[in-house]
Amino acid sequence: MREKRNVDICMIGGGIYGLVTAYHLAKVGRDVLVIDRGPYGMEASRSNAGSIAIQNKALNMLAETVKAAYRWGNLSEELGFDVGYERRGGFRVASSEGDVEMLRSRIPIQRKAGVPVELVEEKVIRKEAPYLSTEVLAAGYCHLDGKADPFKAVLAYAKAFERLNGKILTHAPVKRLKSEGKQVAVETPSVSILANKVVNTAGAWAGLVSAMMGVPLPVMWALNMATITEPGPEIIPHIVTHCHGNLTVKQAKGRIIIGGAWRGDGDPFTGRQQVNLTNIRGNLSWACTMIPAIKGFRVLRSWSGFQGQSPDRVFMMGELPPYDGRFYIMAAGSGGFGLAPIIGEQMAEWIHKGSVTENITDNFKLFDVRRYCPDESRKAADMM
Amino acid sequence: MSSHSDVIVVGAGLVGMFAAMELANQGIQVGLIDSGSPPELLDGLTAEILLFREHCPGGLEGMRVKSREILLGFIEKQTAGMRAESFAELQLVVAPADVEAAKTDADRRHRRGVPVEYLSEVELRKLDSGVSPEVMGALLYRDITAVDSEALYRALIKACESDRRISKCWGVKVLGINVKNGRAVGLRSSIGPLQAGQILLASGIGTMGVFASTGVQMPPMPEKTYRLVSQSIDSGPDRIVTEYILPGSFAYRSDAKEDSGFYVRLSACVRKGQQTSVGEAREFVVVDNNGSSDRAARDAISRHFAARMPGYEDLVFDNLISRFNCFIPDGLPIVGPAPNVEALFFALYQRDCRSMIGPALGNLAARTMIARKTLEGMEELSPERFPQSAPGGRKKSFGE
Repeated sequence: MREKRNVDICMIGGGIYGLVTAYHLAKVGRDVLVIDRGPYGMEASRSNAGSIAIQNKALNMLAETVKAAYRWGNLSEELGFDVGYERRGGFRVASSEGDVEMLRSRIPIQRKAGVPVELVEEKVIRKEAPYLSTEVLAAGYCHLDGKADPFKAVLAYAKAFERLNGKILTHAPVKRLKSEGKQVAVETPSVSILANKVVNTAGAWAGLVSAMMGVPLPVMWALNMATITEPGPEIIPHIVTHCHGNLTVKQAKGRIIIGGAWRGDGDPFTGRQQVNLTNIRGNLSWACTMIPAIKGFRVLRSWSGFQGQSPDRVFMMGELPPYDGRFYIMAAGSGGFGLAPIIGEQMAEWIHKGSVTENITDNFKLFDVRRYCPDESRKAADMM
Repeated sequence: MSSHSDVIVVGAGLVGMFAAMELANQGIQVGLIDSGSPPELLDGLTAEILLFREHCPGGLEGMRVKSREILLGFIEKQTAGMRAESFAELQLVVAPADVEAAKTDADRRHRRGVPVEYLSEVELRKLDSGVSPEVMGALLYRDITAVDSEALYRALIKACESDRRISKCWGVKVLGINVKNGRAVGLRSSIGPLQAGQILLASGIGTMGVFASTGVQMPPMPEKTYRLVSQSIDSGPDRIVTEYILPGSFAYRSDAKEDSGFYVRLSACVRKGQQTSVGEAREFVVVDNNGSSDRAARDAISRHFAARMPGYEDLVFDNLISRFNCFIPDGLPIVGPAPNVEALFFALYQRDCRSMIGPALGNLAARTMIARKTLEGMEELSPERFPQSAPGGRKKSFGE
């Protein structure tokens, strides 16, 4: 006989979004259970390279990104546990004339959205960041760019949540979602949960869980990879990203951490995942080209993790049909790790109030999941 | 199988086999691989009838018509044991709100020459007393082309195996795609590297685990489909009974989802002296889910069947068949070149109880590969409809 549990709110997916939202809901006194298919926070939340960079984020999410950068600064204090955040200042480098043009065209838009970013010429780069290759022609510099420790951040939110009597249930993949009167039954192999509200924070699996909820959303997924080296001399005091978006580099305790969204092998539906060596080589060769001094570092390990993404790269958040206060989603944006503290909190506020639709503010309209819900797309599918 | 082919087709399903045959017809050396063996490919096809009709919600009429054409052309060339049948189909109108729409629909199609009529409650009961009194009416189509799934697969496998331009390799698991300078050059497989000028991924949900490292992103997801099959019946009207679906509505609307958690549809093909498949239940699950939902699925289908067709209560259910399908959230097939990676092509669609577009899709995939680009008018089916841009707003190059 399966164990039965009754909760107010059940978060499906214990990644950073599930945990942030759960933490803020627990803080206002809600009874929250977070369930995860494996150990919590194992995929996108822990496998990303920990950049809290602003310059490499989508232009339509800049306002939130800046807010998040300030938030990260106080997060360890707020949660009472260290999240490993350091504000380092970041260079977004350009290595061709075309790249420089792209940087130049983006900077006014970024500045208009309140991002303190400036274009730095070659001369200044040689002086401020002598470790960068002579191939770097210019760079955008933003003093708010920083980095966090994804492992610590996930753990900090989980601990802070548990301190508020929140419960996390691991190794509980959802098998089925059923209506039970005004509640929702969440069935897992070991436990059957009866919840008033269900929040889909399942990352790469968010499409599948939304389909179980009755609204199959187009969630795309990818296997993100990152690499860490053995410790060596401290040479990179900043965050470095390339404006092509395929490189992030930072150094923590002497170790170089290299990311840039190069893809691994596998799929979330069988759960198989594997680092792809060809792509790791591509990632590292970009890193060595931009920062030649790291050639002497030895790679310690590379890893991968599943992440979800909406087709337009903007978050999917809000309430799902039939809009009766039971089904919510918070998933699948680009640069999600850095934005988690504020977007997760916003989501928690809406869930607490009950209705997203009535409370959604203008700056979040863009994120509203209703843009993918069938009522709208049904017309598009009608080609008869 | 030699380690180099002009084209490798991954997946020996309907799409893969029709694509391989079309490519071979154009004089191309094709390698056809599948993770299963022919007996495994035939597994789970008992009492499955594939419908080839052109009037279906969800559009794609051209593709449906073409599918039937290709199918009939294929059957004509077969020497033994393979034929297309003509069935009458009853589409039950269950929701009172759908009655007017169904009438208009029947009328419109009738005027276009489709042999269809709307049956009122009384006429329906006269035709089939086994249907529930709660059903509001029905659309009766007099001539639906249908074919036995198992016989078709058998014939297709035989046709592919006897074609010298197609080299077959069964039991091969594909692990990944090798990309060089933005171009797919071959596969990593359980029997070692396989090189090819072009690659077609037509292995349904199995495809999803193959292309991740190329950086291509797509939203299909697995759904598990259950069919409940009854024992042979002595007498029967030789008829297909399904439910009327509003034109333009998704196969999966929240109102099609039962409280049991399954999406259930009536899809019965009653044939004298034959086993009968009575309905489908679908659920979204991860692929490693073990058979623990079987009982619930069986209950959901039989309950649904009994509610729609109480007069058939003496049917004895024999067999629950399940398999994984590929579900595409926007409801359209994905066929065409992969975004960002040259020489890699996709042919995916979701199989449902509405109509079969596999043959036309395979054919279209083959023609797309020969043209090396999305064919005109097919843009809305192209994989390129899913945006692939990288964080910086630029396309990313992988595998360099």
